[in-house]
Amino acid sequence: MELVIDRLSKQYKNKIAVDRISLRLTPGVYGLLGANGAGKTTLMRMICGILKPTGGTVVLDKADVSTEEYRGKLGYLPQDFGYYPEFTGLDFLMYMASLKGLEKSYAKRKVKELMEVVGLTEQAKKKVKTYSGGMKQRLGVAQALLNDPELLVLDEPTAGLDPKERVRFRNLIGELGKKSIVLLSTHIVSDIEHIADKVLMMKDGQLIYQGEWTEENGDLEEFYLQQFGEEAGHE
Amino acid sequence: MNNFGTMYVFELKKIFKRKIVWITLAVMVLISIFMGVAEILSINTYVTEGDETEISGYEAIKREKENDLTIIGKKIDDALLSEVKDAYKGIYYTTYSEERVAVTGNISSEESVEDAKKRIKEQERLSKIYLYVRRITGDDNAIHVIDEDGLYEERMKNIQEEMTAQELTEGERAYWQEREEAITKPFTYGYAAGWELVLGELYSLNSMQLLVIAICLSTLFSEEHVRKTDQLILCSRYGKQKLYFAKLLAGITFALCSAFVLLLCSLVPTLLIYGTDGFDVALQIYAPMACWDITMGQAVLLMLLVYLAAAVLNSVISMFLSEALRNSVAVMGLMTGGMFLTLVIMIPTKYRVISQIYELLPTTIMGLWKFSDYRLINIFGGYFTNLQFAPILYVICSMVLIFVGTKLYRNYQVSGR
Repeated sequence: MELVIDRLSKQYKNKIAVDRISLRLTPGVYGLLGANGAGKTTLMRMICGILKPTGGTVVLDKADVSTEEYRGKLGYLPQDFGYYPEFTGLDFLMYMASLKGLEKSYAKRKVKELMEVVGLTEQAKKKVKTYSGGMKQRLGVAQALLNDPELLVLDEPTAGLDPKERVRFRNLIGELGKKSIVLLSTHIVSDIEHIADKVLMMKDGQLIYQGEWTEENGDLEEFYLQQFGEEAGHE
Repeated sequence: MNNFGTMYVFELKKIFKRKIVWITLAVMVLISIFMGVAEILSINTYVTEGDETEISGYEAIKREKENDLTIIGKKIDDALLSEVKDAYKGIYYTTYSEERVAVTGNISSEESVEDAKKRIKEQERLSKIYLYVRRITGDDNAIHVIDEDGLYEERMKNIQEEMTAQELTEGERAYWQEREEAITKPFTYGYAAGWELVLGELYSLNSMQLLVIAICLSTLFSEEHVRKTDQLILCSRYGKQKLYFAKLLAGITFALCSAFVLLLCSLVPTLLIYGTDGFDVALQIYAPMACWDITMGQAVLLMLLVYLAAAVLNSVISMFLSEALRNSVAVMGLMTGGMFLTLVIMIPTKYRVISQIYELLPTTIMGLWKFSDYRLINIFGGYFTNLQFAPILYVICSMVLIFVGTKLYRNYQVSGR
């Protein structure tokens, strides 16, 4: 299983949001770090096929990002996304399961299982509009995992989670990273330190660092602050 | 395909979970029912010799039907015209208007009260034929001088004048000549008041279904962008293709069902009150200038087809705009604004092409008088009337919009949030 990103670029009128990024990702957890406007979300959207790149390609096991086959292997948790307030949590996941092509009886079992994983079993039949921010975020995580994705893209997944939920989430991601490619972006350096096998650091649309982060490399947060200076200080 | 069914059900659920949908439907259903029963809620005044009698709307309908029963099946020929002539003997009117006044009466002073009552009853019995002659000739007093040949000649004269006004080609005239020859003359009178009202109600229902569709379906696509759920669905396996069609099918289903429910709410009370008689009555009894050799029932079925096809097109327009504008208020504004605009704007028939295209719009197509629109559409040598062509056109337009909408939907880029 390999995700190949080749010279991926996104240019808006007078700004290059992502500048010829090339990556080869195999199963594991990849932490994407960068200040606001570094191009993390743009890169993730292009990897998820919801934003067309100006140039370059994204291929997962020979399946191009624009294909149904690719989307079938993908799980995505956007940074800021919405729900159908009148749907219950159960309805929402069953709906997402149908979009992901899950067979109905399997979807029922999977939804039940994931509700338990994210700790929403008791709230499953309550309307999403009654959920707290953290519960909504957990529901978002559950929908991303419905199809047992080979490629899981998580944009700021720990936002809105309390410390206990964050720890539980880290463990979950760690497990998923054993068999899937997990790409997660965050501002919280400690999340990356705890979960990620490899660190990807972005600045002005370019990758300024990629690789494993070991103790020999020093303190990641310090390195991050050095790289982003003022920008990161405002995060 | 199983997933398509599930997506379709969820899309319907999304529509029906909104309060505004239920409120809109409830209001429109009440209006539809009211349209169907409006006549029986009215009070009618009948003037008999010397006194006025107030009767309920329902009584008036019954009375009208009883009178009509005596002439149903009779040919509108010299014999029937002379009966009417006798009944209206001495009754002349000053103007052809709603408030016309009988100015001359040569009722003999020796006429007994009984005879006078009998004469007035006879007038009431034959009033439909009197009104029919007046409708063709445009003259309140024509009944006194007209005979069978004169009546049908006058009708043909009016038709020819209208054909000239509508700038018909020779080919179109020949087409109508052929259709006209297929109509049996003299016409046979029949009672089809219920179906006539249904045709009238379809005109209002057509506007009402557009309002329902504009309000209820304008969010179907725009909501995904506003709520930012688009990024979840567009990166899912079936989100870019199957879901688009599931949404469309749900929208079209909703449009057809709501149009049908509104129709039933108005049609059932109307037919319960007036009866279902007259399905086989010639269209010319209720639309004298029509040259179609069809019955009232066939006219209703054709209009129903146009009505349902218009509902499909309206729903597709609403969903297309919903995706293109990504703003439900703008969609509602455009659709209702467009509808009201077509209610007030008339394009003269002298601008033949524009006028004919305008008359093909879903908001202008309905009405009993549309059967007297002689302009035709020539397709590969075959002629179609506006009413025959409209359902085909609506389906074609819907397919084009669906195709363009597919491109818009699939190529949507989630950016700048």
